[in-house]
Amino acid sequence: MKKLSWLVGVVALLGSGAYLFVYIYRWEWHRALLVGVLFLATLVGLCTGLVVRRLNAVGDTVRATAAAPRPPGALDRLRAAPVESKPFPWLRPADPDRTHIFIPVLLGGGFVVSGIAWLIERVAGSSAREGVEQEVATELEEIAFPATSLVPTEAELLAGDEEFGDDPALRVLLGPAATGTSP
Amino acid sequence: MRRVLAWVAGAAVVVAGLLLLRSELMTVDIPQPEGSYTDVVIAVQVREDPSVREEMTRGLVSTCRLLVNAGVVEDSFRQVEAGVFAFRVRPGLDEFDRRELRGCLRDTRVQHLLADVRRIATVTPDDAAGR
Repeated sequence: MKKLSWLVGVVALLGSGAYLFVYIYRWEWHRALLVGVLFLATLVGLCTGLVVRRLNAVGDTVRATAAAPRPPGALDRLRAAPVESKPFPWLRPADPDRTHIFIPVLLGGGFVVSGIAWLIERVAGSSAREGVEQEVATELEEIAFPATSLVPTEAELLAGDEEFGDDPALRVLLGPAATGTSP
Repeated sequence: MRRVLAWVAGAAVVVAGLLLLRSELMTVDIPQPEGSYTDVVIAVQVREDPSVREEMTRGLVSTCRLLVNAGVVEDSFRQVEAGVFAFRVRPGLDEFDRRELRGCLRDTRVQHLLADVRRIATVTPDDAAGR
């Protein structure tokens, strides 16, 4: 059955490839597109089948190897092996005249430098914050809008028009904007 | 060794195919004499009501003549026999345009319509005078 499937796939691939060529040769683009899609689909299917077959073969090999008898005594050999007691042996260069840079050293150095930078940033921020805030507040006060409006509102203009224009009490109520004076 | 031979054979087939396609799909414009035209006869089959066969064929011809920048001569489209139509396009088509028109007419551009080109020939004024 497998062989039949492979045979059908290969025949379909060859046939669709041949017809793709023929249709292009005849300037029949629509037919060529349709057959081209079929050709690609067959090609992808066959390639997938090849990969799956290879994976199955690898799996079979692994299973066959796992089932094979193993020599005993692995634990004893491990325990009998000499124990490496020196930690971080790469930090002890054989030649003391050579300069070695190791990744742990770089990592540790980076950690230390980051800590120092964080400390400096905290100290600088706490010492400069008060002065900076005061300076910003002063500058903001200088450019702040006046408490009263720069131009009279429509209601103020209506109230100050003609009939009540000379009423000093109304002037007091309307404020400096109605009198045309700047605050 | 057998694998190398197989690869060489495959490469030879591909190269030969590409060369064939190159010669066949060339789009060289060969100027045709003034007054030349191309006569086309096609046989069509439809999977629809036969009464719409002519309409579908006209649609196919209208589509394909645009590809070759030619116009169907007025009133030249006629039914020769049942399922066989003839028409004339101007200006006359060179060899490469004839290939393109033949491919377009035989292609599946209109659903449920299959056309076979029975004859396609370009006639120049000299050819017409020599008859």
